[in-house]
Amino acid sequence: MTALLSVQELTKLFGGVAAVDRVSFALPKGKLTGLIGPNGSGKSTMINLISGLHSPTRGTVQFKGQDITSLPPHRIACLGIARTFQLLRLFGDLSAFENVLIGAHLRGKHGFAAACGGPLLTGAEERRLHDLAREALEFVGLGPRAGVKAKLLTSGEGRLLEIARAIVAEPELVLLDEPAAGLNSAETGVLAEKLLSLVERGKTLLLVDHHMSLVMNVVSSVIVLAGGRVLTIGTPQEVQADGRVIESYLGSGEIYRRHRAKREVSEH
Amino acid sequence: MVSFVEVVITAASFGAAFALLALSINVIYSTSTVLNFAQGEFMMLGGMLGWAFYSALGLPYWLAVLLIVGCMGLVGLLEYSLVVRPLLLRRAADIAIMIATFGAAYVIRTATALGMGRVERPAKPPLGQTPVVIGHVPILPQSFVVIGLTCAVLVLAWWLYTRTTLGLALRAAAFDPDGAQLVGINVDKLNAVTFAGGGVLAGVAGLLISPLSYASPWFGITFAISGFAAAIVGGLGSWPGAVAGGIILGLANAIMLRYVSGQWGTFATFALMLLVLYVRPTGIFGERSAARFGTV
Amino acid sequence: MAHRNTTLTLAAVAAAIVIPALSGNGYVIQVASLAAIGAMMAVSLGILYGHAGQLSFAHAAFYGIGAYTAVVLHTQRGLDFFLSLLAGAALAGLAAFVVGLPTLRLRGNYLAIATMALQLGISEVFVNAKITGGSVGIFGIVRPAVFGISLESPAAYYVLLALAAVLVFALAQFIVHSRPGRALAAVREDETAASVIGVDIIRYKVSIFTITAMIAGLAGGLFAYQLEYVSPESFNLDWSIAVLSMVIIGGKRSALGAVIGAVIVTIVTQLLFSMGELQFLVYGLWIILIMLFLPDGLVSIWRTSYRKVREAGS
Repeated sequence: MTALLSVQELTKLFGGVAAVDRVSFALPKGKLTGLIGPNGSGKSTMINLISGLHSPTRGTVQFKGQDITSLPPHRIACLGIARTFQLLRLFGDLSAFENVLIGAHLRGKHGFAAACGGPLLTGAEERRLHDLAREALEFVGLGPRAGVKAKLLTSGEGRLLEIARAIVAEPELVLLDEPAAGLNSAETGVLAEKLLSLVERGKTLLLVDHHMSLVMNVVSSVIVLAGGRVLTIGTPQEVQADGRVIESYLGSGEIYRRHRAKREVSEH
Repeated sequence: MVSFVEVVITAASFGAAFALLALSINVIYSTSTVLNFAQGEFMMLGGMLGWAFYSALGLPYWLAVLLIVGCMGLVGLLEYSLVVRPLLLRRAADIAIMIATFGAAYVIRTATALGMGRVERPAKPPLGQTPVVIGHVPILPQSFVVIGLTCAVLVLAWWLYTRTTLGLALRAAAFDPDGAQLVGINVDKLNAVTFAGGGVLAGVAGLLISPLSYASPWFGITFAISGFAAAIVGGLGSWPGAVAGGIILGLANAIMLRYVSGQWGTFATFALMLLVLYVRPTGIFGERSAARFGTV
Repeated sequence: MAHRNTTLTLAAVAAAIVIPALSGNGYVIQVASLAAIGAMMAVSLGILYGHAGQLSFAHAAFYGIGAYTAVVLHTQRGLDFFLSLLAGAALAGLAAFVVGLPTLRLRGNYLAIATMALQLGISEVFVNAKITGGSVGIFGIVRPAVFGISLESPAAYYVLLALAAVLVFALAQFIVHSRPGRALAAVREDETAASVIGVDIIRYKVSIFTITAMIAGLAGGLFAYQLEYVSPESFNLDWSIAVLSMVIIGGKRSALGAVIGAVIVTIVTQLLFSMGELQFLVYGLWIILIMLFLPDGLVSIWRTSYRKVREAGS
C-alpha cells in the first residue's frame, strides 16, 4: 500500500496559537480516509494547509513523492489535488453547469491567444470540456439543475455541486471539507454512495466530517484530531472503541449531547 | 544642511495638508465606505474661498476661517443629500457611487471656475511673506500656520472621536453599520455628519495650503490623488494611517520638488504608492479589521 | 430563431456601417466615428471590469500610449500604417504588463485608487515628454491610404473604424466564452475558489489587463487619425471616467450594452460641446443623474420589462 500523500510534523501557528501541531499521517492511494475531531481540532486548517491556502509554519507535505509544502494553490491543483469548502464557495452568479465547466479548467489547454481565434481554434476542446462538465454534473445527480444559478440552489445541491466542480478535472486526491454539513439523512445517503463510487473509480479521498455516521460507514481508516494533534489513527472499529476519542468529543460536548438526546428519547 | 532643513519644513507643510485631506477621506469612508472623489475639489474650493474671503474681500482671517467652515460643511452636506444618499438608499454598486462623485467633482470644479474665474489666484498668507530665520534657515510663516493649525485640528478630531457620544456612534457605525443601526444609531444622519465634516477638513486643508502655491480651480484632481494616495498608503479608514500617509507623501513631494522637478510629482506619487502597497497591500495601518478604529 | 437572430444582427451591423458612411453628413460621420472608438474602449473595459472584476481608471492612459506611438511611427517615421497601429497596441500592452504585475495584487478600492494614480502619472508623462509634443501635442496628422484605398475622407475612415469595432466586439465575445474567459469569471466571483481549481490568479489578471490595454492602444491609434491631431487632453482621467460610464450604462457585463453605452455617451458629449464653458457642469450633472437613475445600466431596464412581459404572458 503506497502513500499518495504524506504529511510530516505539520504545524500551523495563528498568532502564537497552534491550530495544527506536529501532525503526521499518510493517505493510502485509492482509499477513503476520514479526518474527524471536535470543533476547533484543526480539521479545516489541515485541508487549507494541504491545498495551499495556508502555508505551514513548520513541517512538510509530500504528494506522490514530491514536496508541495507552501506551493501556491493553483500549482497544487495542477498536480492533482482538488477540494471542496465547508462554507460553500460556489460562483454564485454563474449557472451550475458553468461552475463545473470552470472546474474543468485544468483539463483544457487553450489560452488567450487561441481564444482570440474563436470556435475555429477552440471548438473541439470546448466540446470535450462541455461533455466532461455534463458528465460530472450527471454523476452527482444535478443534471436537471444545470441551468440554475448556483446561488439559487438548495444547500444540499450546493454541496453536490462543489463535489462535481472538484472532481470534473479528474484529480487523484479529493479533499472534502464537511460535505455532509446541512444535509438531511436521505441526502447524506446519496452522498455516501457517490463517495464510494469515486473510490471505486480509483480516487483517493480525504473526508473531513463530524457526522460520525457518514464517516464510520464509508471510510477504510480514520485519523482523529484533537486540539490540533493526532489523537489516534485506525480503522473505524478501533477508533470507535477508543475511550480517548469519546473523551475528546465529550470535552467539546458533542457526543454527550447526542448521547443525552438518545437517552431522553428512550426514556419517553 | 540648510537645504535639508528647508526640505523637511516643506515636507511637513505639504504633509500636514495631505494628512488633513486623507483624514477627511477616511472620516467619510469609515462610516459609509464611499470613496468620495469630489474631495480634491473640496480642498480646491477651500483654497479658492480662502482667497475670495481673505485676499479679495479683505475679511479678518478668523472670520474667513469660520465662513469656510460653514460653506464647506454645507457643500459636503449638499453632496451627500443630493448625490450619495439617494444612491446608498438604492444600494447602488460602489462603482456607481464613485462615478457619481466624479460627476459632483465636475460640477464643483466648473461652478468654481465660472464663479470665481479660471485663473490661478495668489492667496495671501495671514502672517505675511517675510521668512522667519531660525538658525540660518529662512522659513515662511505660513509653514507654521499649516503645521500648527493641522495639529490643532487633529487634536480636536481625536477628542471628538474618542471622548464624545458622537465619536462613539461614529466608531460603532464604522465597525459594524448594521449592528449600529440595530442599537438605534441613525447611520444616515451620521453619514450626513461625516460628509459635512469631510467637507470642512478638506476645505481647511485647501485654505492652509493655497498661500504656499496658488489657489486655482484646476488643482482639485491633483489634490485628490495626493489625498487618496496618502489615505491608501496609510491604510483606508485608519486615522493614524492618514497622518502617516500624509507625511510620507509630503516628504516625497518635497524631495521631488527640491531635487528632481515639479513636473513628475504624480508619477512619483504613483511609484511610492506601489512601493508601499507592494509590501503591505492594505497600507501601513490598513485592515487589522476590528482594531481599525480602536486607537488613534 | 437563432438563425433569424444572426441575420438580424448582421443586418444591424451592416446598417450601422453603411448608413453613416453614405449619409454624406459630416457631423453624423464624426459622431459615428467617435462612437465606434468609444465602443472599442467600452467593450475592452467591459471585459476587464465587468467580466474579470478588475476596476481600472487607467484605460485612457493606454489609449494615449497607442495614439502617440502610432503617430510617431507612422506620421513622423513613415512606418506602415497598420504596423504602427499594432506597435501602438503592443506598447500599450507592454506598459500594462509592467505596471500590472505590482498593481493588480491590489483589490477593490485600493486597485481603483492605484489605477487612478497610474492614469494621472501617465498623463503627466504625456504633458512633459518631448516625444509627445508636450502640452501642445502633435499636429499635421494625415489619414493614410491602405491597400490602394485612400482613407482621407472621414466616411472612408469611418468604415475602417466600424470594422475595427466589429473585430474588437467579436474578440471580446470569443474571449469571454473561452476557457481563459471562464477562468476570469471565476476570479471575479471568488478568487480562493478559482485558485484551488487551478487558476493562476495573478497571471490571468495581468493577462487580461494587458490584452484590454492593447485594445485600448489600438483604439487610441485609430482615434489619432480620426481627429488628425493628438494632445494630452484626449488621454486624461476624464476619458477613463467617460468610458467607465459607458460600461455602466450598458450594464457592465454585456458587450452589446457597452456599445449602446458608447453611442449614448458619445452623442451626449457631442451635444454638450456647443455649450462652451458650461459643458463640464452639465456633463457632471448628467453623470450624476445617470448613476442615480440607471446604476445597473440599461440592460436592467430591458431585463425587468422582459420579465414582466414573460410573467404577464404565463
